Formats: sequence, structure tokens, C-alpha cells
Amino acid sequence: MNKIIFTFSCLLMMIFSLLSLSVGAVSISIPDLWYSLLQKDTSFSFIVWEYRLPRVVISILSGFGLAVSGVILQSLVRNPLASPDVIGLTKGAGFFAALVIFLFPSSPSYVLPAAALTGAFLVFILLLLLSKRLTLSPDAFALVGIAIGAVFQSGIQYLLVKYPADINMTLLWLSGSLWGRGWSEVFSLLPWILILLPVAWWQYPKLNVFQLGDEYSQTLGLDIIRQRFWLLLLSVSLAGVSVASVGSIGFIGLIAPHIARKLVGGRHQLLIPLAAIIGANLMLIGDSIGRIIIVPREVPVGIMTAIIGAPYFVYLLRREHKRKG
Amino acid sequence: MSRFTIRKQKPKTFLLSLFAVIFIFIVIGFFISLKWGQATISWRILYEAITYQGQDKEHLYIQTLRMPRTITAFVIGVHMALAGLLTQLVTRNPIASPHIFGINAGASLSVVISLIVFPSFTLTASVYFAFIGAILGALLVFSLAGIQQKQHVRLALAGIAVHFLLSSLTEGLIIMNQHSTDSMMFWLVGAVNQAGWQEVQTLLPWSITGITIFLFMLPSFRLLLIDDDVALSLGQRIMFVKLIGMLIVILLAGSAVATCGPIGFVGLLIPHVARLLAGEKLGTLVPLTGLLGGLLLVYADFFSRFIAYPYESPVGILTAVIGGPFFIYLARKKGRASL
Amino acid sequence: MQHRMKRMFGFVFMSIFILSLIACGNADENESKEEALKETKKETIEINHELGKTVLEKAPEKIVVLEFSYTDALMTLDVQPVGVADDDDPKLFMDKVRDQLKEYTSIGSRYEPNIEMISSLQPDLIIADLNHHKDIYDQLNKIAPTIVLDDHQADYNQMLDNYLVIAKALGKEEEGKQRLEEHHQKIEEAKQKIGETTLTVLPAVTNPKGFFAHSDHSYTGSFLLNIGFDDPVKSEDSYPQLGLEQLVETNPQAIFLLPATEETIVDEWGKNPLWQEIDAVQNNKVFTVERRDWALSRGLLGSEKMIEDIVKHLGDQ
Repeated sequence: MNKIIFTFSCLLMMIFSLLSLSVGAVSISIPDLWYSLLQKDTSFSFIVWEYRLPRVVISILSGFGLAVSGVILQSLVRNPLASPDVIGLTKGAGFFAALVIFLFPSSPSYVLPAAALTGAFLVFILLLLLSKRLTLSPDAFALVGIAIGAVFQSGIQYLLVKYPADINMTLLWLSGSLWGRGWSEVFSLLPWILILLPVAWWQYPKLNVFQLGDEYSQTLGLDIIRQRFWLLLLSVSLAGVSVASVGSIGFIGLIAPHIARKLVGGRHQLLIPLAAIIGANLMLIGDSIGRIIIVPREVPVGIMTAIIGAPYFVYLLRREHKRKG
Repeated sequence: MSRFTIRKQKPKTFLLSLFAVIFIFIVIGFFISLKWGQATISWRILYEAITYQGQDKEHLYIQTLRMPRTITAFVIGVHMALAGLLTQLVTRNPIASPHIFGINAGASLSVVISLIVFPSFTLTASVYFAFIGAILGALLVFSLAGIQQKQHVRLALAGIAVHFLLSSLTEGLIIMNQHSTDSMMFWLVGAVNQAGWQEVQTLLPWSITGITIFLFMLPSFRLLLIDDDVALSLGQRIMFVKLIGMLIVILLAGSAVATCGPIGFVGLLIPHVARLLAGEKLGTLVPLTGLLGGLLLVYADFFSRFIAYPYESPVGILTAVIGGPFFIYLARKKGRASL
Repeated sequence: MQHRMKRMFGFVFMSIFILSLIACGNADENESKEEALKETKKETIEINHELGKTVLEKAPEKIVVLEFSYTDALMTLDVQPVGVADDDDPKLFMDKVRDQLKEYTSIGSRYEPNIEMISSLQPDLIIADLNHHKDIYDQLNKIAPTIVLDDHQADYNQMLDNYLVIAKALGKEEEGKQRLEEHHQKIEEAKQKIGETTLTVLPAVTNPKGFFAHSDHSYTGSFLLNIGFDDPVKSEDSYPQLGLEQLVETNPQAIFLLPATEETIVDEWGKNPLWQEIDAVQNNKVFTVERRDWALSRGLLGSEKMIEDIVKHLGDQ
């Protein structure tokens, strides 16, 4: 069964990637696409090689990053509703990004992602400080995260009202957009994901134990606080690098792990890869639809994923809720 | 569960003097809000203005701008604080508030939709839209988390997830309509600085309705203080009370959001302060919460004029500065308690 | 890929060549340029812009512009763009531009222009804005030579500088200079008609919830300052939001309203007796003008329309 699920979702990812390469303001037929991919010198070369392909790669990489970050957080907090968005990571990143857009509008283009990453790690430090170096219960930890997120959110809104001239640029970044992302973003994201993803998967035994509860972890001889620290750092890094390159897309980190858990259960050795693939799929399909829905403009991928994911998410949770009575 | 143990009732003299002090502070707040702003106004003119003895520019500042604005701030504060208290009672969750509960975000979303679909909508009409949105937001959160007690964290997580979802849709709509963005931004962060008598007129009927039902239902709301296990024997009654409670929350929060945008943290912060001062008894807790809410917003509005003087800043930023750290404090405290 | 590589090499080679020429000094450059001219009868255009230097082999024919002001500039030089980022709403062009503009492809939002469509138009010049498009400069450059100007934050004088850069890029440097001369003349003539410019004039964009003054740090404000009017707001911010009390205190002697929507906050304020306390209202000097002329077009045509409006409303009768 699991094999089928994995094959199917990988297949889906391939189909969505091809779809994402072929649709857009300029639609490219599959034969033309093949030709452009192989020959590299057709009238579609630029669109395929320089525009859509990096977008596809970034979709996949950031989908991986956000989804796995969500899986880790949900296990840490022992709550399926946790996500990088909810505990404030994306809001911290967003606040710093907005600061750059508003206060240093002419700064070179690498400053924005750097600021976003700084924001995410600042939230991490705040989380550490305010949760007494993670000695609080997972519940308290989640609440502290929500509170930090709410504070940063007000900060963002203050900036938006204060500087009305640049609102659009900021909102586009905040909602998460793949517009204009090219190979340079791919190469700044790729090494991180390549390193962090295997590291995350390697943690699966700990994550399995963690979601059972502290008592179990202790009896199994885990140094909880220390493990929490490393796992949180891992989660923050994954979300941080993804957010830095695509903007604060929150929903993927919540819903991808959820769908994956529904399919393969709570064993992290399966959950992590499947959630990653589902995250990538959501990003791909969200981006493809966002590109063709109101040509020549684009709907930011973050909003598209929210629209697509929301109904399914509500359905999932309702069912869960009913089952629990 | 320290919150639900009935605290020793404070002595009557203490309560009386407490109310007296708050009242005095509110009056002072009103006066300083009327006196100081962009234009300098002397005490004599202030006196003439509030007794309606003058029609000069300075008098008009007070009569047509500062007065309705201050009243709106007060009423919004009352609304938000009472809505917060009631959410906390109904969900039995100390970290509940309309803001964290998708109610504000739902109302904002539907108001923005209504402004896009019917650009010439009046303020009164958008209040109804806000209600619909508030109801949807609340329903979504409750269907995700359920209303059983001891679900603090699940409820908060579900609420904040819905909040972010709805606000990202609102942001999406704003992006897609980029040429009216500036005015839409208003719906993302609350501000009372543009409020005039029209806003007061729109708000007041809802305040009266909401608060009347609230006071009328006060005896029944006492049921909400009992543990669910005990209340279970009371059967349907408790569900009905909770439903009415949420209805009042939606009336109060929805109308406030429709007129002034979502002003965060008031609904979370004030009920706790009130509880700290006066204990659990609803008869004193409810009026105290309302008055404190009004007080906070009047002062927040006053100080918001001076953050970036001579330009106004949204009052929501000040409530966030005060409420945010408190939220973090509360999260740490409540989280520890639930272990 | 090979072809592109070749072009890239050609590009790099050309840049090195030109750089070395510059290094050799001015006299040399002129000579060799003339020589090159004689030999190939082909002129290269070299443009310095915000993100570097761009060299065009010949005057471009298919041009994509990513801001309204650039369209304005193209119109004055009688050049038709093939693609315009017009926020997908042709109503945002000022009338004069729209009349002159023939067929073009809308490439979407100015904030996120559709890069695929730009590429499919196969342009030979792209004119972009520093704030909005710096992140996609590399991608745009792979499509066509791209020049990046600071338009979003520009004031009137910066716009005039930008205009010359655009004219040069189009291979119409002389015409550009001429047109600019003409523009200055028009402005001078208009100034004569206006006569006294002692008024404090406030342009403001209005919408249902806000009144956004355009201070002397904004494009429109800087233009008014240039004519000789005084800015009553004096703010570091380009677009400070004013309340009614503050507006009355600021007390401008003339107001130009640039409504963004049909109904604006001014409808509401008009009912307030305080509105009558403003000098501009008492002197009957509150005028409504088109936002697309005053705040969006930001070019020679836009400014000429602006001063035309001002002459109409404030000129000596």
C-alpha cells in the first residue's frame, strides 16, 4: 500500500512539474516542451530554461523545506495543527522582509532573503528565551509561538499602514510568490535543502518517540531539552531558507504533513518523505494555477495554495474531530 | 485550573473605590483626548466647545472630530473587551479572544469582499457583511477544534490557523485590486482616527443591543463558570447559553471590526486585568471589563497621535505593543498550568 | 544554448572593448568611434543606468516598458512600445498617451510583469524600474538588453534626467534634447500665464478611507515646487496621510484632489463645517483632476497636462 502511495505521489510530482513547465501566459505543447528541453535552442528556450524550470525547482525545494519543517514542529509540539506559520517563524521573516522593502527600497536584491532568514532565526532565539530554553511543555511552547507571531504580525501591519506607497510589493512578498525567481535562487536554496533534508529524515526515530510524549522520551533515555533544541533548529532552518527564497508561504507546512499523516500514519520514516513530496506537489499545482488564472497577471502561489488547501484541510479536520467525538 | 476556582470576593469598599478610580481615569482620558491633538486648543475653548457655545474652527475640531473619535474609541474598547471576556467564558479558554479566533479576520475578509463587489456600500451595510464573516470565522474555528474544555492549545492553534488563512485571502484580494489598496489596508489593522459621528451612530445600536442581551443573560452565563462535567447534567441549557454567548461576541466584535477594522489584543488583555482586580464574580467582572476596555482604547488612541507626530498612527499598533508581551506572558503561564 | 553563449561572449567582448576604449581616454574614443562609424556605418548606443552599463548595437525597435512614465516618454519620441506593464487596465493611461498608443500587449502588473510574455514579444530593449524590478534584472537581460532607471522614487528633475537616458537608448538623443527644450518652453510659457505663484498648493490622492498628501518629496509635489508653488505639508514622507484636523491646520490655499475611487473621504469631509475653514475651500480653489494625469503618468506629457490643469484653474484670468 505504502509503495503505491509513494509511486503515485512521485508520479504526480512529475506530471505537475511537466504541467508547470507547459502552462502559463505562453502555453507550450508537450512536443514543443520536449524539443525545448532537449535542443535548448528554440523560441521557447528562455521561457523553459530560464523562467519555468528554475521556478519548478524552487517550488519543489521550498515545498520540501516547508513541509518537513511542519512535520518536525508537529511532532515537537505534539499537535497536528502546529506549523511554521502558526508559531511565528514566517511572520518574523515577513517583518524583516517588510522592513527592508520599506526602509531600504534600493538595497541590492540579496538583502531581502538575508533579512528574512535573520527574522526567522530571531524568532527562534525569542522562542528559546521565552520558553525558558525549551523547558516549557509543548503546549506552552506552541502558545508562546502564537504570541510571538501575533506580535510580529502587528509589526508588519504597522509598516503596511505607515508606508502605503510600497504596499503592493510587500504584500506580494508576504503572501509568497515565485515570480521572477531564477537559477541564482535555486543555487542558494539547493545546498541547504540537500543537507538539511537527509539530516531531518535521519532524525525519524527521535521524532517517532517525541510525538508519544515526554515520559516516553525520557524512559527511552532521550535528553529531551537538548533534542528539542536541535530539532527546532532544524525546523527553523528548513522553513527559514524556504521562506527567504519564496516569501512567507505558511499553509504548506500545515497541510502537507497532515495529508501525509492521513495516508501513511505517524511513522516519521515514511511521513517525512511523503510530506515533502506532497508539499512540493502543492507548490507546483498552486504555482501553475496561479500563473494561468488571470493572465497577464499572476496570483501569488501562497494565496493559491491557501485557496486549494483550505477546503481539504477543513474537511480533514472535521472528519478527525467527528471520529474523536 | 486556577482560573476557575472562585476567588475570595473582594470587599465592597475596594470595588467601589476601584470603579470610582476607573471612572475618574476615563473622564480624564476624555478630556486629554479632546484637548490635545494636531491643533493646540486652550482650556477655555475646550470648555466652550463641549458646552456648545462656539462655532469657531477650534470648537469644531472638538465637536466634529475629537469628540466622536474619542467616543468611538471608548465604545470599540468596550465591545472588544466584552467580546473577549465572553469568548473566554464560552470556550473556557483563558487565551481566547475574537482576534485569535478568526472572528476579526473573518469580518475583515467579508468587509473587503463587500467593498470590492459593491464599491458604493455604506458603512451600515458593511456591518452586516462583517457579521456574516465573523460567524463564518467562528464556525470554522469551532468546527476545527470543538468547544470542549481543556482544549486550550488545540483551540488556539486552530484559531490562529484559520486567522492566517482568512487574512491571507484578504491580502490576496487586496493585491488583486491594487489600485484601491490604500483604503483596503485599513481593514488589516484597526484605526479610529477617521471616525466621525456617523461611526458612532452605526455602532451605538449594536452596543445597546449587545450589552442589553449580555446583561439580560448574565445569570445564565454563571453556568459557564461551572465545570463542564457538572454542567453536563444541565443538558441542552448550557449549549443554548453558549450559543447566545457567541452571538453576542459576533454582534460586538463584528460591528467593531466593520467600523474601525480589527483592533487586536484588547479582547485578550482586558478580561484578565479585570479578573485580577475584581475576581470572578460576573456582576462586577462584566462592567469592569467593559469600562477597562474603553479606558484602554481611549488612552491608546490618545497616545497613538504622538507616536509619529504630527501624523497619526493606527491605534492597533499601541494595543499590540501593550497586549503582545502580555499575550506571551499568558502563554507561558497557562502552558505551565496545563502540564 | 550555443547561440546564446555566442551572444553572451559577444556581449562580454563588446563591453570589454568599450571599457578599454574609455580607458584610453576621450580623444581616442572619439577617434575610434568615428573610425568604427566609417567602417561599419553602424552606431552602438551605450547607456549608463542604475544597475550598470548597457550597450545596444543599433537603435531598438521592439521595446517593452514596465512603468507608465516610460510609455509617456516613448510617446513624446514617437516610438511605439510592443509591450507595456499597464496593470492590465488601459484606463490608467492618460488620454493623450492612450490616443497615441497603437497596438501593444499588456504584460500585466507593474509590480510583477509577466516575464514569459515579455520573452514571447522578443523585444530588443526593456526599460525597467529599480525598486520593482531589480530582482529580475538578470532574467530580463537574458531576454533583451535592459536598462533600469529609478522611477518609483524619482522627483521631477530626476524624471527629466531619466528622459534623456531613455531618448538616448532609443537612438533619439537629439530629438529627446529638442523635445525637452520644447517642454521647458511650454512650462515657462505656462508659468507666465499662471503669474503669481505665492499660493501653497496641496495635491492629494483620496480614497474612501484616506487622504494622502503628495509632499515635496513626491513626484507631483516636486513638480509644483519647481513651478514655484509652496508645499504646505513639508514632510519627509512622500505621501503622508492627513486627517481633517491636520488638513485644516495645514490650511493649503489650493487643493488638487486626485480621487482613486468614485467616492472618497472628501465627500464625507465636505459635510463637516470644518471643511469650510480651509483657505482653499473659502477661495474656491479645490479642484478635482485626473489621478492618471497627475500621479501615474509622471513624464513630459503628464507634467504638461499637470501645468495645463494648473493654468486652467489657477491662471490669471
